[in-house]
Amino acid sequence: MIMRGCSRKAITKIQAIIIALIIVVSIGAAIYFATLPAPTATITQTVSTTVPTTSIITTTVPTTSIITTTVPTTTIVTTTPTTPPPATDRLVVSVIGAHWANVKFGNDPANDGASATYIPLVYETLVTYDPVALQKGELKIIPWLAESYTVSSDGLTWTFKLRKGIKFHSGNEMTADDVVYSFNRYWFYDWSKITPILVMAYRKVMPDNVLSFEKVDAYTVKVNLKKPIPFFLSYLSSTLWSIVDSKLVQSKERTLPELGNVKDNGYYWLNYEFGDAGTGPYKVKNVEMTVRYEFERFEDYWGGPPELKLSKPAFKYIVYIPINEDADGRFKLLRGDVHVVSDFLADTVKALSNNPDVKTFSGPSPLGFGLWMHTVTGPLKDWRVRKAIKMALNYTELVNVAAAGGANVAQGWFLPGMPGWEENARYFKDAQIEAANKLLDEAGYTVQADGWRFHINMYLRPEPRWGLDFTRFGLLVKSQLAKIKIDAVPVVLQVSEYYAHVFNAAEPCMWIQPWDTLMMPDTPMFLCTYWGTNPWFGYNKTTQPDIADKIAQREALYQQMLNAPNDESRIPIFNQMLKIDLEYGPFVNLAVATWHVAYTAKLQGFFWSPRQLFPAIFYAKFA
Amino acid sequence: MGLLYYILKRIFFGILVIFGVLTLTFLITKIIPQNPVAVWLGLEGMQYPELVKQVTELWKLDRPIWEQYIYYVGNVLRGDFGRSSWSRGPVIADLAARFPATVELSIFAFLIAMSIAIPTGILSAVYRDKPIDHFSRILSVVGISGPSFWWGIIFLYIFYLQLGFAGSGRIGEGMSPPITVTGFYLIDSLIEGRLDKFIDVLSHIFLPALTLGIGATGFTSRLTRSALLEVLRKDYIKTARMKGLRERVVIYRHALRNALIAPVTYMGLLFGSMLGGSVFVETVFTWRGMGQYIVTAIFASDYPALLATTLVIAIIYSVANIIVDLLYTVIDPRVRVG
Repeated sequence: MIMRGCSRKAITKIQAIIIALIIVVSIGAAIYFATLPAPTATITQTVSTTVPTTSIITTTVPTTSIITTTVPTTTIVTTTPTTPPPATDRLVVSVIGAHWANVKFGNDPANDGASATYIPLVYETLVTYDPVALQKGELKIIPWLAESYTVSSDGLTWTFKLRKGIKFHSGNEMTADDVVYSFNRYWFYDWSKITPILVMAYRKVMPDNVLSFEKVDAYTVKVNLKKPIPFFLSYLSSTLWSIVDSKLVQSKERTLPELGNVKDNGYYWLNYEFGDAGTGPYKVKNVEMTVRYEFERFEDYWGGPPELKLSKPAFKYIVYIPINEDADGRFKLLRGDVHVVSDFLADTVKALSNNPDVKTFSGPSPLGFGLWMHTVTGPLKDWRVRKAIKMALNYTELVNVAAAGGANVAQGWFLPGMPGWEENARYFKDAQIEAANKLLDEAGYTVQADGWRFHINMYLRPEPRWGLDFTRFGLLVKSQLAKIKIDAVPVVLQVSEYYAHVFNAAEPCMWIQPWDTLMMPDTPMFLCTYWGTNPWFGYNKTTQPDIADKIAQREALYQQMLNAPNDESRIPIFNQMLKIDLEYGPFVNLAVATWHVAYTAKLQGFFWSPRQLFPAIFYAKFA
Repeated sequence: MGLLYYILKRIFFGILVIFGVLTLTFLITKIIPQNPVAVWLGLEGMQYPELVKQVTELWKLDRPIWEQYIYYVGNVLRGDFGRSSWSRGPVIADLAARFPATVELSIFAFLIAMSIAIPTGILSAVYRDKPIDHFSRILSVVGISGPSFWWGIIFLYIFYLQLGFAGSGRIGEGMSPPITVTGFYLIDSLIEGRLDKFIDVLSHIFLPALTLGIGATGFTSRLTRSALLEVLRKDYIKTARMKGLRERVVIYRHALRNALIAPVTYMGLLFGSMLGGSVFVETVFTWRGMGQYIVTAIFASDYPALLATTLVIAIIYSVANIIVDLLYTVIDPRVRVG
């Protein structure tokens, strides 16, 4: 027994020492191997072949692949183990946020996909924003797939001459048929039966001024309007008006029994199978939706208007990889696995800005967060209550606390990138509690026995957007409104339920909603369409008789604005409308998100614009 | 005969459990006051009464609840779980895309957990209160108390950023995923004949598997230790030692087999829960598996997807339980007799 006891103790010590040694050695080895310089690539190709290689990956392990060429010989290509040399023909872009995991962006430019960042790489429009101007930070619309256009003197007929020889990714040539098909598909097709959620809100609020699209000859298209739209070119520059390959899309059309046997106009193919019917500089290569979106340079790309002398995009492949975690995005960027990361949190970009291997960009984005109210019934029907709420809010606190500094105060409609945008322009001062209380008392909403003036639901969505969190905003708005004894009850709802409440104008409630101008970064169009038409949420003369004169004044301004010849004359009119809306209307913007982007310093010529990657691909390349 | 009867009995009860879950989840979705037609059609589509009627009839939602149940069970038995309102595709296709990712991850997480937990559990029981026991105790406490999302980020920092191991995602950014045949990247990359992809995929499993495994390690290790200690006090162990058997034989042949009942039960359920998907680990490592799918389905009120995933998890648990029960008979023949 004594002997055994001794030997057991001895074993204990020996084993403990061995385990400790193993741990120390393995950690040491791991650190040693990790800090070793990358071995130089020694790829030995024994035989050169004439076969264009379709493989895009540098082999990292010994593999033996057999390539058969047209020459009746078999050649063997061997590679030796090596770390992959940095691929200079592949740009990997990541977007942070679970939003990409939760929303399946498809590849249909006329629908859900329109706001997805890759759409401008795959699809093009008749007119678009000049990449040369965007590089200088300017927005200028130029003919793109159209060679030129004319407009009749009454402004009712627009004629577009198309460029010849432009190829779709399928190889089909783009003609007037495709343009007419694409426009009809977007504008006149009844999408409401097919798409699940709000998709067509943009079109709903646009003035219904289009009469017809008409083919004149193979390369000429005419658009007939009912009433002139002074900013019609801005309309057409939106990704929604992208030109799709009509032959291909029609061949993919199917009937949907789950939706009452409706014909889908290629929607399922484009959206859920990620079909590709574009003319853009990149074509779809390999997409696993919500996981990875890989695009390959379209070698038959027409190259943009010759006078711009754009160079061929340097990257053969562009890969989008949605990433959930901010920290993960940061690690990937520092490791060089990802080259551009957008939608970072403010802190991350601040931390990265000292790193010489990384360049950062932080600037106001065209992404807003607004508080909206229904005005048909309940306390919010009274404009004084609405104004009191806007006065009681502490906008600086919202930006500093709820957005953690990742946003700017902006109470109105103008978003960054629009002419008319002013940084930190504000109409209401912060937290005017006394004045707000007085206004509420005047409106007759006195404090009740339960300690509140009234209770009201405030709808929020669960997933953060652009690094901003709805719930954080909602909770802070709740605590700020508690100071004027309004009980705003935050209710978090998933998208379809959220919109079910939001679109029900008869329900007394408020909600926080993100909105952006990614699809249409142009001021006149955005303002006229989205904010210009005004029966939103019951904000009209019928439901608001006490401020009917203000609404009439606003309508007059709207008509005046429609007829204004240019942005310079339009913006002051807009500002007058904005004042009326902020004073009496159902809306105040809480913040605009700051766009935090970081990219590897090796990337030369890269820039970030409201069109995101599209203009940069003509300039950026690896050093 | 006894064994066969035992197995059949377990399988029969397993099927009963699955049906129970099927019925319960079906009933719960009927209780929730939300119209599946509205989820499917959206607000725009709901404006068309004839469309609403068509879809309601198509899905037999106008029929009595028992008829709907029979219709549902019939479809499930045929492998038709309906269409997901989120992805718009058949749920079965979504599951086929997500499940292999989770299975790959779970298998490796399980292997990592077990290869650490069982040896440390045995060592710390045999060398109770010795340095190795203290070391394993610290490891267990740290493993159990660290939340997995925290471990995930810490591991990414140490192993990926500092040491250059493979990071998040199922495959490196420089590679395209293998052509889908089975959905298992490991298998598909071999079918494609790409050893480089296979190794890349394998290296990408390491960190999430370690993160998922480390939480399970601590508990299993402590469970093994306490069960083994219990057995080591038994008279028959003393007898075995008095017979002059070598310590190794005493521990591995006489003590361990009797001690493993509890750890095996836990391990079986653990593997089941891993296969159900881990929301945190899958989120941190951008691993599109079952965990993320379930969360998306919940947020989107996607009933067909929820029903199907619940059922799949129930099946996994039942199968895991049956396997555990069968393992008992191997480990401890008394179970068969009892």
